[in-house]
Amino acid sequence: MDKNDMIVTTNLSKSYDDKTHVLKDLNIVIRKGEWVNIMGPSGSGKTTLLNILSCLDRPTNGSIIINGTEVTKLSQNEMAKFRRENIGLVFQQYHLIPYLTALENVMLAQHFHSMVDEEEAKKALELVGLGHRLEHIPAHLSGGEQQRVSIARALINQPSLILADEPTGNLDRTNGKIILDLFKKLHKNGHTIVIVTHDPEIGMMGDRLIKLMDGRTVDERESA
Amino acid sequence: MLKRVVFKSIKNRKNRILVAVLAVVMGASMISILLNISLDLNGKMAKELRAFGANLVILPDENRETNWQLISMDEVNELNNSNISANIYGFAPYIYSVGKIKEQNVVIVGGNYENIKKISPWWKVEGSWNDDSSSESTIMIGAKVAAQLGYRIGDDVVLNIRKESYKKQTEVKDSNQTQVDATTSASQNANGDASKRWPLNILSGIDNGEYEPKKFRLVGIVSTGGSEDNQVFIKLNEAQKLFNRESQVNLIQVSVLTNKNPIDKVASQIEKQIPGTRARVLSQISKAEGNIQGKILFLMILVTILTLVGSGLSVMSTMTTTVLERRKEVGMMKAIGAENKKIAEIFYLEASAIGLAGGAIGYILGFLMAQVIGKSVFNTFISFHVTVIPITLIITVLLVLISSKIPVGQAIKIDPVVTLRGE
Repeated sequence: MDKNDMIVTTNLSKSYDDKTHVLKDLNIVIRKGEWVNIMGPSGSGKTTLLNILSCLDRPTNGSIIINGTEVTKLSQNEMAKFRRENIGLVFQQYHLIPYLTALENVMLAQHFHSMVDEEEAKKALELVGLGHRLEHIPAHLSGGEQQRVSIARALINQPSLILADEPTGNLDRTNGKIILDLFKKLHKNGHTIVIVTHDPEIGMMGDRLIKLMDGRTVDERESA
Repeated sequence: MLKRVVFKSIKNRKNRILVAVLAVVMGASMISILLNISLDLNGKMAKELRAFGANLVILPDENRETNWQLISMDEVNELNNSNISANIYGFAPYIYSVGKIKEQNVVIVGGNYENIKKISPWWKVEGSWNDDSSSESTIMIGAKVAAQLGYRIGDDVVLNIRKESYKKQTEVKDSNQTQVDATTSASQNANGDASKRWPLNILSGIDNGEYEPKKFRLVGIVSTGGSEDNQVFIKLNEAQKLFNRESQVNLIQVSVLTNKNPIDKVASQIEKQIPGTRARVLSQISKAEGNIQGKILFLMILVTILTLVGSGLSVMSTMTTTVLERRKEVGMMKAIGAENKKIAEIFYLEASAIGLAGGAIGYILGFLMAQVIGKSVFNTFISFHVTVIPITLIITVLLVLISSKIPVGQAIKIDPVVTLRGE
């Protein structure tokens, strides 16, 4: 493994029983600072792959090394620790806590990581353009704004890897563009980004596109 | 941050939390009632049960060295000694003799009426009681004596007291035995058994003695339904002088509080404190008291346990629903790196808040209800026991934490992969 590699999967497989093989012998390498999009039709295994890369799920076979750590060997709590220290997650449905303000949602990630720093959390929200929405609860924010809070939360602990599952899937075009511009900015700042998407427009962005079909890589090429 | 999350989470689901708090309030108020009353119960019940009358009689020991089988007032005062007094609700020394009123034989009782009022509250006195502190010679006579001799309150009563009223040791021994029987019978009479009366053998053969008349003013007519109805009552000091037994009594009736020490132990203490006496326990009464107290306490504990189980189940149900409602939230927390213990911390903190709030409200309600019970049952308020507050809070918080164990276990098992994809 090269020291510039962020993610290396070797013969990665995932099956739910003997018959359902979701991922089949995937060998993927993602380098540090790279923006890789993963596309594929429904059921191709892209979300399962993202869950495994997020250390939320374990493969049935094979290994994954993220930032130099063989994550398949980690215990449940070690995986949680690894996740909060190395990975920022952005979900399609934002998954913000409805009764906490934007600022508190970001601070909660700090709380689970280590110490709460309100100023840092404010800065993260300012970075995603929500400096004026700190005290709003999710219900009082638009979808785009909620997703930006979700991105601020993903960034707050300075992860080396950002994984996003359909980050613009629930957004209109204008808000989707704001989110993508944010990802561009993060990429420019050196973050490693992996986005799972159906959106061909996003597929065109970033450095590389991996296409999955029936749990296998069917195409892998540099983005245009 | 954790406190903020818990506070807002509670605020966000206040109706559901309110149900859990109310369930805890029920349990906590029962604990508070139980503790407040039971801490007072023994004392209050013991006093309440003292309405049954004396449960112990102190008599001179048969082997007493003195010639006269009597107890001195100094010995009586030993009962005020702090070693014993804490276990005693009240006591009344008695001295007995015989005499005549209008040629009818009567048993004359010398007593301390303030003390008798306390330990024999069932005595009904028409008119007034003898005033121990007054120097006037007054008399109270039993209802039957009054009826037979046609006395009314305010009349002068000439009591013929045997001049040589003391007896030699052997004679006194016999009469003391009779007096014990009479005392036992008096206590039993409180329970309605009027069959045993003051035996007349004490009176037999006294007609031949010399009598000295003494005039008393009749102040009260005593009716107890027992042997007292056939007796006449004069003040202890006066009786001692008239009977030529200054500073001496025949026996002491004692009302022992059984909440602190078993009555047998108190009896031995008394015998040690006043050598040469025998403290005889009237076991029927003391056993009945013990049984009543034990049964009441058992019933209260049973009701409290059942209420606590009910509260616990209600809290468990609320917490389970809360966990189910917050599956996505928990999944997200896990996804962003929360360890199981952090998740458990949130739920346990929330449960503790429910326990504390319910415990505090329950304590206050319980204390107030204890007052109502105290007033209606014991006719007195229940004292404030500061220790009940932390005990109630600790029990309720523990109850809520234990009830939350299964729901929190469910929260910990939540798989973020499943919940975050909306299943």
